[in-house]
Amino acid sequence: MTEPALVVRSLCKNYGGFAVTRNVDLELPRGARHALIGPNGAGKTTLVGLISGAIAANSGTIELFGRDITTISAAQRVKQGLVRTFQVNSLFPRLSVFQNIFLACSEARGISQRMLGRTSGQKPIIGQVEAILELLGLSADAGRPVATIAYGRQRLVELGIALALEPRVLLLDEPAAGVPSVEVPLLINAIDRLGEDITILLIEHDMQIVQRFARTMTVLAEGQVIASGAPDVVMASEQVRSVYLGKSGHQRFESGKAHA
Amino acid sequence: MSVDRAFYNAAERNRFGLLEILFWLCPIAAFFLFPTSLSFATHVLIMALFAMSLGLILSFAGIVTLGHAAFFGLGAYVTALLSLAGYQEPITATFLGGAAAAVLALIIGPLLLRLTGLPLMMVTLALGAVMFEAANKLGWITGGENGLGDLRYQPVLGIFRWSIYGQTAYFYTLAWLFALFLLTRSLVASPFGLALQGIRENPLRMNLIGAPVTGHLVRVYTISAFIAGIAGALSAQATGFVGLDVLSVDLSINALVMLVLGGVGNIYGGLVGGALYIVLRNLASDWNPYHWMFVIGAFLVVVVLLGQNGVIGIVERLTSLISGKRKETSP
Repeated sequence: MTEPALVVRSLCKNYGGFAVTRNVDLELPRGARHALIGPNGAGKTTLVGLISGAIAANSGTIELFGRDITTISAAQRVKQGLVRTFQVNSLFPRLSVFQNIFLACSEARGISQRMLGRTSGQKPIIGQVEAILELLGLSADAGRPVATIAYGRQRLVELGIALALEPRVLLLDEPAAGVPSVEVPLLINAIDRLGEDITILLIEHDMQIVQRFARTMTVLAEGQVIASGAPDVVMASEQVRSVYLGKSGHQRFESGKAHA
Repeated sequence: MSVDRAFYNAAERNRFGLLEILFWLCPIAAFFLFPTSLSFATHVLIMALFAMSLGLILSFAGIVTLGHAAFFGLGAYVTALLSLAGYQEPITATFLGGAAAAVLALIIGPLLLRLTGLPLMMVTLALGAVMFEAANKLGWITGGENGLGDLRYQPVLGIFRWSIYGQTAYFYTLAWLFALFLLTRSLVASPFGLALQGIRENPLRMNLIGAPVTGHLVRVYTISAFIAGIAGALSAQATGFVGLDVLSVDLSINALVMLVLGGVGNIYGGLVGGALYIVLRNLASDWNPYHWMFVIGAFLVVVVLLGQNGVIGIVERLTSLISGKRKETSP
């Protein structure tokens, strides 16, 4: 039971001659709270795409709890407990909040094939959906079409869909992107409340969120890992500061630490 | 307080509402009001059934196809050929017509349904045209341009004879229509029906929550083809004749027009639109045999401009307007 939750080895992705991901190694132990940061265009979202299976890698391997998942499809990876959220909301706009989460629950439980019986009769799933809505503070919006609720709350639905898929490893791609600052704590609190049985990789620009969330972190620049380890050590690295943060970024990191 | 079931799935209804009961009383009323036009009325029911089958995949799964007549035509020819071969038990012959269409969908579905949007429309259009030409060339099976005539069937359930006035054909068709309507109604209300709506809204995301998107689509496509095949089989039985027009591209396109007219987004869209289209076309061609398309076209423009969702959309807006006013006047 000691093998890590997620191991990425020598992962490479090129678009023609342009290398977007270069020999990336990453290891997340179970229950990790790992942050992935890097300047724009560093290849963070590509890396999430590669790990989740949305993009095929050119070379390298990905292991989930000791099983090689490099060649299996995104849908199969979800079934194995590897779940991602999207940087830009990818929801079912005309369906209600409840239905968005129900869809994910019913796929995870394998009842989406059921042609007999009403949706309203699926009591165990409905209970599960309601628990997720409660956790994320979405109960009041349950009946509203997703397209009609505030963007920040749509981000919570995005997270809710991921949670409904019963993740063992959760890849959060900038969950707070586009969320008004007043609603950010809602999101962060929801992430904080997730159990230790879920291993989380967080991509985030906001250093205060990273500081609060991460126990370990990796910095990516131009497709390569330039530093990895405990946040304090990584942020103190000269290379990281020169490549990514600049002086102001480091100040924000320090102030975030003071607030935490 | 009982929760509205539409909360769980927009396609779910709590029970048969007053409007629904009134709707289904219409075909029964038509039987008594127009006893001399029953063969025309049967045609109306068949087209409503065909449009409903297209509505199942278009409204709920977002599959836009221009080749749905392939299934209607296959069902019609299979049932006709069975009759000519001496197999004349009507219910199983109808069923086999639908089953043949379902088998065709099961074969071509996994290939077709990887496509979406315009490419899907073009490929289905081409397939429909190929089916039409194949039926035209294979005259020794299909009768070519002459079609297959003088089809005979045994009495329904061994009791009801097929009369020239068409009472049997009318109620036989209505029974199939209602049964398949109930099937469709419960299908779209199921978790599977909701999954289809998810695919319609965002197929990419459905795939990434682990849903077998193509598998779901093939399943509903096959069911829709089955219903279309039944509609074709019924037309062969009701008229005693099958001609090449059952495979025509016109028929596929007309079914789409019926849906737009009735309204997409509701299982009644195809039923209302199909019936309305056929009745309107008949009235218009009585009025002017050369320019009847003008009437249909004008009507379509008005409906699209007035309501986002066909005639059903207009009715829904009117009823909510009326009930809204009632609430205002009675505090």
